[in-house]
Amino acid sequence: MAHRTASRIPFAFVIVLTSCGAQPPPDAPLSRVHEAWDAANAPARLEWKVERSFSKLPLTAKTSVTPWADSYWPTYRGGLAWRWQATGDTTSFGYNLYTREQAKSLSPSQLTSLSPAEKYDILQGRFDYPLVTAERRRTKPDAEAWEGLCHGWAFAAVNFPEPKPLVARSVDGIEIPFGSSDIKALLTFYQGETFTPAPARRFLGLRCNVDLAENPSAATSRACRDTNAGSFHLLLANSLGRLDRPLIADITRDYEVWNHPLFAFRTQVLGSQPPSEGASPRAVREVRVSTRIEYVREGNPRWETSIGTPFNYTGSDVFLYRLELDADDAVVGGEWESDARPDFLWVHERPKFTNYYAKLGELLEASTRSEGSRPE
Amino acid sequence: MKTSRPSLPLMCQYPSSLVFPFVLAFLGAFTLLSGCDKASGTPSSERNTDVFPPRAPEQSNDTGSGRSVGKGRGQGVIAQRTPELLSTVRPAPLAPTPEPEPVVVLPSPAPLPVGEPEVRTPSEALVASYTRTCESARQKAAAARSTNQPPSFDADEQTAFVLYELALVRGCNDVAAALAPKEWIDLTGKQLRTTSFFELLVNARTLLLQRNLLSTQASLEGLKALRTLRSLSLSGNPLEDAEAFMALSGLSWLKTLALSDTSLPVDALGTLASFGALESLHLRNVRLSQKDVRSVGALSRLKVLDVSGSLVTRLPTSARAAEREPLSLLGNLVRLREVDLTSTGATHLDFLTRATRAVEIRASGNAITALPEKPQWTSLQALVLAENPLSSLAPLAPAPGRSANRVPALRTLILEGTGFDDVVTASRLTSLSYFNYKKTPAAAAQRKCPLEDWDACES
Repeated sequence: MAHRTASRIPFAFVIVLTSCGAQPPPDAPLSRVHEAWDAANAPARLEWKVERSFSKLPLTAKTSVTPWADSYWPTYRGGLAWRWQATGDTTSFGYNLYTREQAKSLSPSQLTSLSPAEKYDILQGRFDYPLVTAERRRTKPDAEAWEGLCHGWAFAAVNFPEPKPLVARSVDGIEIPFGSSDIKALLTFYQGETFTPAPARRFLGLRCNVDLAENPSAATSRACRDTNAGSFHLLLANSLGRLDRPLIADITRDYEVWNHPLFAFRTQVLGSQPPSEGASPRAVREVRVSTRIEYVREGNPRWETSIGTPFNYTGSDVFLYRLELDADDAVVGGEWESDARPDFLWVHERPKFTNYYAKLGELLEASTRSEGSRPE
Repeated sequence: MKTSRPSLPLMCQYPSSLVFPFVLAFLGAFTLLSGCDKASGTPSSERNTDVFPPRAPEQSNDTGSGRSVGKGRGQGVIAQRTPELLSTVRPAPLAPTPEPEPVVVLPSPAPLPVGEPEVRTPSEALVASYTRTCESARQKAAAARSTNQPPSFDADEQTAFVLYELALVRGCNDVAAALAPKEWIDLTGKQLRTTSFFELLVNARTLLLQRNLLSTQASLEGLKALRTLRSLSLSGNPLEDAEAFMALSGLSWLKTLALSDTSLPVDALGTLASFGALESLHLRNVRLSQKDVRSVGALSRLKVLDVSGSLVTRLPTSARAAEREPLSLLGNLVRLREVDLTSTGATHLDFLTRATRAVEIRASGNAITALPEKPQWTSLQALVLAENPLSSLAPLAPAPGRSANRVPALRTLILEGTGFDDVVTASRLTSLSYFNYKKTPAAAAQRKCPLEDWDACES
């Protein structure tokens, strides 16, 4: 029984985090958080080997690899069952699926316009369309516009190289053109929706699941006032600056979840001062900082790759906060001054391509090795 | 945002008119055990909670209480009593070894300083000397600005100029008056080579001197006069002089002392015993001898100890078993709340068995093979044990016949790099709300959702 209960937890997280959106966060009243981090905000949750000394951490960094931009595959469009290159009604909810014989007679242009899920099912010779069926079950046309697969995209964009377009031959001999975003969609789905055990996902900070525009008083609740500013800075500087690894964060504070890969930051020290009232008991001073983060944003799906083009959309935010330092200059807490702050940070390890997704690994390898090559 | 503190005995503010001997005797005994400050009527738990904020001046004549203290906002407050006054004079429990071991007698707790330190005012001669040096430095700085060159100060001029900039006044004559009321002084990374003229900082309670160039006893002489200091950081200074630490011996009211990343030679910490009020000690990346560790172990009021990365010189193998683990000499530190033993070569944590107030223990990168058999870690929230050759986590599991965990407050357990799947399962750690280990159990590596059976995945 305990095992069954435990096994539900990751799924619950997935449901909770399955969301993305385009609306800016509401202007909630200022909620100042200044404290040593609690168990939910301890940096060790994501990375135990962090350098904690502020003076030894870089003030600016950019990862050597830039994550790729792509769609968040909106739920209201049908997710991966969205025929994103087709004209007319492109949602996944109305079109008929082709039989094997019909698929064999499709023109390259018609095959190109299929959804990523259809292409992948046809590639495997599965004309019962398990992936399309699963996506139709998962999605709904009346979902909120911001809901989608950003939780999968943000990690896929970091964990996998950007795929290039290619034509792949199915087990039935059908030559299926895959655009870059077709493969990105499959990677996004696999990263975000294929369940792995709890240790594969680690979170820092609690999710604020409140619309702060409607309920501004909730801004002071535990879940809506974290992530702790000290933890955020430590992980940002260590991940991007020391480990050369993008950091995934929900950059909006309240109930909407917009996961983005953070790949660059610049911190400006504005001053040093005694610890504020309520600071971490270990703190002997505070440094006031302004940190600008840069992240890759969602965009429309594309046939060609995005990195190196204007279509690899980026965004930036500026956070103002204080870092509480102990007598060794180690960051032991933090306090937000800006209302804007990330809701939570998390890591999700790269999944292995197994079972129905083994072919996806081949597809990715072929698409990154040489443009136009075909998997066996 | 403060967390509510544990309720306190009403007796903490008993009326002074009580004169009956038996009543007084009862109150005296109760006060000793509950931690009331007889002089002020202030509960010791309240004072302990605010020990660290530098802006909260306080008395430190607490004679020790059996109550643990709250961590502050966002942390659980755990109130409990232990007969600590009795336990602190006992030797620390030793590492379990097959052969009988001699009892290690730890040093007695360091004596507490008596009376409030006298606040002095800088002498006229000092102020005059400072003003002259400051004027000289200002002239050099002005000349350097005109040539776009950095000024070439001698050590005294450098200090005088830094203090002048700190004071934010127009002329050197005004510096002493401007600095006198300052309680919090941050001189981090100012390239100071001497603490001359620091007598001007007559009310300094927090003095941050990290990453300067202080290296000798003489360079620290100016600190002697700062009798009101509570927090001092000298981390990141090239303190190479074996006698350098002697210059601090008069600062007996210090509560926080940081000497990390210094070049202090071994055996330099012998005078630590005079810091009886010390509650937070930072000794990262320094060389420590057994004698140094023994000095640290005598600081029975310590709440925060960071010796991460510090190499402890061990005695020859013929030494007694307990001394083969020099950190065993820390067994008297039962008030520790946060301890960092990362990369110290520790082989066990038995000396922390009685650390009932410990909230966080960090001991990664060591040679720890097992946890204490019966840890009294009732307050422990985070245990970081990555990269240790652990073979069992049994002490963390519920005792036979009991549903409660031995470490009930534990929320974060980091075991990365220990290859621990089976042990986690065998130790019945499922009651932990969180633990983190890198290796994924193979049986649950991948689930084929949603393609095979979506509903099964949900359940």
